[in-house]
Amino acid sequence: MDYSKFDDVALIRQIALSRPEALSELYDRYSRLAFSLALHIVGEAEMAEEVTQDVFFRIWEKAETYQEDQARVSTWLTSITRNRSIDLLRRRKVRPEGYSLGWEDLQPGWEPASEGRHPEDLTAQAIQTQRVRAAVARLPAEQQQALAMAFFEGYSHSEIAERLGEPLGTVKTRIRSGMQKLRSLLQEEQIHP
Amino acid sequence: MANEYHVFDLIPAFALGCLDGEESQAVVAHLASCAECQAALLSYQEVVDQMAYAVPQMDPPATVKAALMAQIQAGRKPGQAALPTKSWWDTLWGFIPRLTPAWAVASLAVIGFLVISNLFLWNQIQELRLRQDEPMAVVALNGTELTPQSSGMIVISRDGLYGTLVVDQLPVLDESQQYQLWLIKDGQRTSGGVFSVSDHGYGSLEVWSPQPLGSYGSFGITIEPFGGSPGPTGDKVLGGDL
Repeated sequence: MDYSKFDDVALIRQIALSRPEALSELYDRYSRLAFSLALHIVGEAEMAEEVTQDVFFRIWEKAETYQEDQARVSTWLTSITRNRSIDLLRRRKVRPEGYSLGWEDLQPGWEPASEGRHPEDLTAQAIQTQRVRAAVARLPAEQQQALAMAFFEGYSHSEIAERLGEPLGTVKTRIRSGMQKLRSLLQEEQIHP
Repeated sequence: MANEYHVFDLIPAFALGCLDGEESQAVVAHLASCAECQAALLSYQEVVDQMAYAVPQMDPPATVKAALMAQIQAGRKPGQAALPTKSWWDTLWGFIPRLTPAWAVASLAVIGFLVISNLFLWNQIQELRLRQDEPMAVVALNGTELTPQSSGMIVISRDGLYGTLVVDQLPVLDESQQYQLWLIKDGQRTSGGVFSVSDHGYGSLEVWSPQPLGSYGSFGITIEPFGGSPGPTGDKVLGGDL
């Protein structure tokens, strides 16, 4: 069966029916995203590999619990990846010295080469990456910082306020305003895949 | 009906996962009955989705996928198949040290255990001998009123664990649909896989089943959305009994 023709939701249904080939196809589609996100959060390739394998194994185990009306497959997968990465990071209490978890090092420019992927896919992905970075770059610095602490480090409102030494209300406003503006910018630029 | 008070202000942070406990619980409770806030949440989930693309994109090493596929082959889903268990000898060996103070009682227990185990093994050997004498089973599948010209068969291996489905002269479906095989037992229908047919209506499928195929009494094939359904939803086109 050619699973490459299946959309994401159909793939999840097949995974729920214990089709390893369906998981293989989903992995081919999203392992790059999961690994890249995990690597940025944990800062170490070996741990990011562990997270990536763990994320897809969790999908294999929990596919039947996926609810199409609550989130897209990519949203579900990204959420699992973030949670597993942040859990691992906190459990081991290590992070490479000087490693950045902000947006400031995500400027357009060099991207690692990728073997075995279609050039058109890579180009489309590179454009998407640059547009998201450009949208984030248009946010005020304090909003970028608050969003990065929530997204990459998993901190809550109150934890961010404590670490920044800012009033809780200020942090809430930064997060809300940052997200609203980011949504508006991304919708304007129609960057959805 | 939407609630009188919405939680729009909290949705962005909820999507990002940074709400503190009580606020998060309040949003969850509200979302359960508010379509407007659910729609807002979806839009912010997409924003969070997009944020992941901002990091430098790179592929994991090929060893990760190999390890993943080996992992799923080794550990099947809970409830799908029994996990490997300790052998009776391992179990017995583990018990001996703990039973040392009451050695006499333990000896009797061990002897009894060995006798029961031998009987169990003898039964298994007899069953295997009987199975080896059984031929492969063939289940004929007949068309319905919708597909009177169609036919098919399922060939089941001697041990009843594996099967292959072959169908002929089934109508070619459009791209949004596929055929799905159903394994029927006590009124319960379990998917045996989905498949499409060639331009000539011919198709085949290696049948997957959580239990031995020989334990199912009937088989049916229906038209379903591409990729299959959790249960039959479309017209039946073939059916047959074991």
